Amino acid sequence: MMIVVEGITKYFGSRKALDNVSFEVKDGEIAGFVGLNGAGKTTTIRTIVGVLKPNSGDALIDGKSIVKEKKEASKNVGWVPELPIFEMDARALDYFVYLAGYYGISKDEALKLGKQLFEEVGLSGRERDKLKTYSQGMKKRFALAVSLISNPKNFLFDEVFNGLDPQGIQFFRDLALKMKKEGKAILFSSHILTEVEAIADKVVFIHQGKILKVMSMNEIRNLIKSNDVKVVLNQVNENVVQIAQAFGKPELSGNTLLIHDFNGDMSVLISKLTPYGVLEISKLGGNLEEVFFKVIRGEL
Amino acid sequence: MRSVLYDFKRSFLRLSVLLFLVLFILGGIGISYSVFHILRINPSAYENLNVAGFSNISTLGTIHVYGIVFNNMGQPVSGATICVHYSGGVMNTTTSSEGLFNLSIPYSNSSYAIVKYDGMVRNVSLIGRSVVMVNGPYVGNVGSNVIIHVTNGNNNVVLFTNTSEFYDLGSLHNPYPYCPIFIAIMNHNHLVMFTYERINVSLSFLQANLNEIIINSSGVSGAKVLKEYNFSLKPFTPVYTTIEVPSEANCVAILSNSYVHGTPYSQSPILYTEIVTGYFSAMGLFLFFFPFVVIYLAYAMFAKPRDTGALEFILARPITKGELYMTRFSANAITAIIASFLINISPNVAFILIAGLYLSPQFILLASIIPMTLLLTYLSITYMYASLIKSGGTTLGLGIATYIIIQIAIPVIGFMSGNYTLIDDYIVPASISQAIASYLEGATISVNVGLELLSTILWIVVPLVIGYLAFKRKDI
Repeated sequence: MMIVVEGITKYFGSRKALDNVSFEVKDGEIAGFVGLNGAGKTTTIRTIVGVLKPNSGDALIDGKSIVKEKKEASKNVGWVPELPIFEMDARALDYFVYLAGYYGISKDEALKLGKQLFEEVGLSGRERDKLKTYSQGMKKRFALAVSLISNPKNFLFDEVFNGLDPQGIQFFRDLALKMKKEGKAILFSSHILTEVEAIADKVVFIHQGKILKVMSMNEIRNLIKSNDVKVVLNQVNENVVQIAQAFGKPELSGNTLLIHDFNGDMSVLISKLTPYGVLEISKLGGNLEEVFFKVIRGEL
Repeated sequence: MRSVLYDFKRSFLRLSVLLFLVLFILGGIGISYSVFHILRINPSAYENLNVAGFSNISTLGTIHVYGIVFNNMGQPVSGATICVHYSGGVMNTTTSSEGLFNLSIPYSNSSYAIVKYDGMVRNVSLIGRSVVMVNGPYVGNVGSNVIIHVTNGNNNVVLFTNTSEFYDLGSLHNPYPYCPIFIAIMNHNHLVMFTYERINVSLSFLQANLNEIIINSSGVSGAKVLKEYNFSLKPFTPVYTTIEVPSEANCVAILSNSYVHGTPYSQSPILYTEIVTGYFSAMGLFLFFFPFVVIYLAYAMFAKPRDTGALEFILARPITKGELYMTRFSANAITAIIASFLINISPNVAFILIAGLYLSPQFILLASIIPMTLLLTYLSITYMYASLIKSGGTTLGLGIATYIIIQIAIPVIGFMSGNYTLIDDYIVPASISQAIASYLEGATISVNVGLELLSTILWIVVPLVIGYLAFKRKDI
């Protein structure tokens, strides 16, 4: 049970938006989906949920083809778009009931479920409001509530952090982690790479409609791990560099001493530099952003 | 199906749609008032009070008056007041439980009677002249319809009637002067007969080609006798009875030892026949505006949400694009169908309230097909545009432009090319209206109904299918 994207190619007119895109998201896994603007993230997600029809390829939701078994496949996937658009003159709970109808849920059941889910996503008390009065964050929560109607095993979050306040970001971050614990497969596209780094188990890199790389977070962490140490001192002179040479390759810049290829004991280094006033000492590491640009540049 | 109902509910309960439906109802009421205005139908045509009778004018200077009062259903009215005016006096009486009255007055050359019941009034001349001016609110109701004057031995006999147009068969007074019988058939099954002499009468309901039928003293030829009733009538003694008129009957023959007469028989009241003629003219006037409503509905429910992207979120539910298209269309089509019925039911309600005239369910059903096919055509065309073009505004504009072009440009081309009738009968949308209107008006249907039906269906189905296929194929 999972999301499997199999060689999706999609044209908009003569422009190839997706080129043989393939990857998979396993159950209990959060896959970060990263790429520049226009890279094809949203197009991929819209194709997976069945809004766009691929020119070739397919997406399997729990083994069901979104192209050939759209209705079955759609029951098992939830989608929170970056900018959810509804028929805005509708009242939220009425629209929820209407959409629940497509899942074969009766009005009474839908009303009951709606009240429960509105509470879960933090929209309690706003059920009777028209959707056009909802903020961007509320629209995303409403989209989430609708997506939870069938309690699907697979979820797609498309730039869900955009336009959210910190509370909203935390809500969706915690939600993704909770869903992961529940064994759901989650594809999470975001520009905020630190967030992806914080929650993802693996990262799918897309650029100009092509999947460049799929890396697990362990691979990425190993890649960005470094042996450089940064020390900020209160006062410096030539002795500082001499001391540092015993631990690696020093580089002094103002009051900051960088020791590349650190080889030694940090506590010994601190004790030797104490006379110069150690204000800060830390091991340096890379981040996802660095890896991202390396992947895009073809360096990885 | 459930999705259709949800979509229907959402489309039907929109404020704009409800306002449109009110507009349709008002349009329907407008049709009914237009009909009355165009045809100049005055209240005497439908007032629910009818009177008929005979004045037996004795040469000795006395007028014996015998009459019956009945309502538009053909049922006798008891307790109606009869005020008989003659020079030098007024005499009053009331009708019996059988609706009968009789009295005698001194001869006067300006004798007349006013019949009153439940606020309604009719008057009749009792001496064979059309009378009588009555002032006040009932002035439109008065005026004798038929005055027949025959000689009966030493006496003169006057048949007086003043009835509404709710009869299927009215008083038989031709050929003059041999008219011994008053006959009215009301509401298909109530018969009132009245004569001044003893006579045996046979009443035959026939199915006939009216150009071929021959009725003479030998009997009836060239027609199929569907039902026959025989009566022995006594002088000045009205007969009221229920009969069963076969639904295929289009002719009635009245045969007696001294009288032979045949007349076409309408299955509907005469008032109905009159009203139907004006009905479709008035409907045509209102129908010009209603397609704009469904074009807007298609824009609001399909073109606009497609343009804004709102359909995408729906499409992420367990529904295919084809189903989404058909669901929305069907929901809007149900609204259009309901509106079509409303535009025909509301005048019916108005006719009932104004005149007590009921249009038959068959009439409402068939007449509703006229606006229904027109509305479904433009709904279908606008859906097609919405599938082919993403811009909601362009779709709305094209829908309106198409309607105007079809309604104006194509007939103009017809006039210029001398093919107007052909185009009007078979090319324009909802051309089946021609056949339906002719049928309901009782006129001869001079068009090829099959071709009209085919043209009407194609106008709806072809754009719908093109739109469906385009929507399935194109990105939303």
